[in-house]
Amino acid sequence: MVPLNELIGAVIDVDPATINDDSSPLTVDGWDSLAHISLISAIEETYSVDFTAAEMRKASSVGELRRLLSAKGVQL
Amino acid sequence: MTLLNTRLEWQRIVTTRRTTGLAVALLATFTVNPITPYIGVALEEAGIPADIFVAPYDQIFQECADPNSDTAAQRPAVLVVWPRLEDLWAGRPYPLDDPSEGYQTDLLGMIDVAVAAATRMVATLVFVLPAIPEMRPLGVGDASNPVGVFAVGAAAREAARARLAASAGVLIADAEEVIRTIGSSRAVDWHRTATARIPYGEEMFAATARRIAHLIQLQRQGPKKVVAVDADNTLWGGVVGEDGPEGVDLLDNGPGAAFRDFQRYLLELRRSGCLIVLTSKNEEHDVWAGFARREMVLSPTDLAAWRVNWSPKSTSIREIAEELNLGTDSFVLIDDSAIERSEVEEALPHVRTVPMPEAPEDWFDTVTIYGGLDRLPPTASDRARADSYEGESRRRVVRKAMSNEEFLRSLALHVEIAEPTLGDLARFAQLVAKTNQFTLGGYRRTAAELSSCIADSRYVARLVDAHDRFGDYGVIGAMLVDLFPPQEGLPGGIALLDTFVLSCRAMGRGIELAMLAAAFGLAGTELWTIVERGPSNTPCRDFLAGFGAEPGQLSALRRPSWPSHISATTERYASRCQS
Repeated sequence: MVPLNELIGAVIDVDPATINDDSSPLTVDGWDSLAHISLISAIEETYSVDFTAAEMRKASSVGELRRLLSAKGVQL
Repeated sequence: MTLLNTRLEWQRIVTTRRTTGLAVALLATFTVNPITPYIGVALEEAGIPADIFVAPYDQIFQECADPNSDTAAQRPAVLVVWPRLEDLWAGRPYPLDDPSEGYQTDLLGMIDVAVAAATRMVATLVFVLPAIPEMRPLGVGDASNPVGVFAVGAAAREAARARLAASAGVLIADAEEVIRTIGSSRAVDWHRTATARIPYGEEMFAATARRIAHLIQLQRQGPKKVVAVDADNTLWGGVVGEDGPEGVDLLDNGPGAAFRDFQRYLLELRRSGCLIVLTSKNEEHDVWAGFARREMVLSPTDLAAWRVNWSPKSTSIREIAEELNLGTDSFVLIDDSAIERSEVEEALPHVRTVPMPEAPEDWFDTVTIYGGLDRLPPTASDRARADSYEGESRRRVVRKAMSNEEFLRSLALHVEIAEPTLGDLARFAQLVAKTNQFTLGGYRRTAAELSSCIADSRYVARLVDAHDRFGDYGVIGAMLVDLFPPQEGLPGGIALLDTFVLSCRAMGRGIELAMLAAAFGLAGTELWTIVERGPSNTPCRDFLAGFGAEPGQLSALRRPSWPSHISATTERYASRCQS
């Protein structure tokens, strides 16, 4: 199972080591709205999950993404 | 490659590329950005590196109409325009009991603006026909309504297709066809629609992007010209040398029916301008006995050439390529045998091979998934091509019996050298794009540029049509002369031979001489040209060297005499070049 930070790093093109649970579009350069959509797609494809519109909007930080994934039964 | 890997691959390409590529602008009524990596990678894989620009959201009219728009500033070579009917119909009630024309106005207006913009920018327009809207309030009852959502949507799409097809050089992709292939539940993404006005999932963007890239590639590189087929277990079930002509399977209610459907498909390909040739390891009498079966759909007269012998298939393909005067890179081989296919792949890497599956009814998926036999709608010249090759085999018979001079005189060759009309543009562009041997080399003008030159009085364009007593060659030559206006710093009366192409199958009979003589007639006193030292254009280089052209250098040409064995007219036969 690909670690979440690694996936985020690849999609948004940042060093995975600089990503923590507080990382968000506000703190990460390049994490704009289109990158966010691209990231959600990558997470859906990689972990075989589906995000609703509300969840996409709620996923405003890496920590939130982790919680959403955990709630969907994805063990990271 | 998975969808995610494709996106990551595009990221890698963008960050490492140093040179500029084909400038592609994307304009849509919705957020179309997610398609970028898929178009980028598909074009890269087709050998056409691209730079992709996404125009401001839902500004198609403005970006097209304003000559100073962001899109215009990008100087795109390709303009991709993708409206959705849901977006165009956003301000009004959905079709229920109103006439369908009212639902077409915005779409047709958008097409006119996009075509005008592409003409002005000298760019190729790729227009994506919108899909039927997902929301059909009557549900299953919508189908019964002749002015319902589906019916009105379909009418709008067909009106759009007709309007687009009337403009030469426009490429059309179809979102509805993609959704039909993927299925709407996989294509549409309601979550992303709500969140970001992105109506489709990654799969839909990827599939549409592949089609767009393929269309661009087809227009630039042309389709495959020849399909080489095996006989045993490709045209019929079994081995004719062992089972005998009556024993091979061509019967209904079994695999035989699939082989016949495959033959029907080959005939349709032939009809659209593709040549069919046979390469079979067999004794000739066995194979022709198989062809004599009344269940056969393909007949020997449908074949442009054949090699039935025990030589390696790569040898057969090479020989046929030489016989037809075509490159092996325009061949596709369909053969059931993996061994034969790999032999050809190794010896001739440019030949594409397609397996004929063991269960022949699977041929449809195998061949269409491959997509390599796809082609744009044929011009009249394309449709005539397969028959003109039949004439060629009769010329070859006559040729053997006499000297070259006698042969040329016996042909009674006639050329028609005339100004191309708008309807000829497709064939003109095709000749310029696809001719590799008899061409000046160097830059090939695009369809958009040729259209612009034809309309410009500075340029004189001519298409060359030929026939002899064995048949019609079709439109086989094209040229463009640039009449430099005197103020460019050159004395008046000097012209440049800008484009000069002749189809392979018409070479060596004096037509190139007639063309050059005609070019001098258009030019004034002097005609110059640059013929490049390219890898494939030796025939043109050698020909022009005989008239003073130094390869790679701007050279003044000597005027040739008109070849005495060729007669000519310089007016249109009205029926000739209609597509």
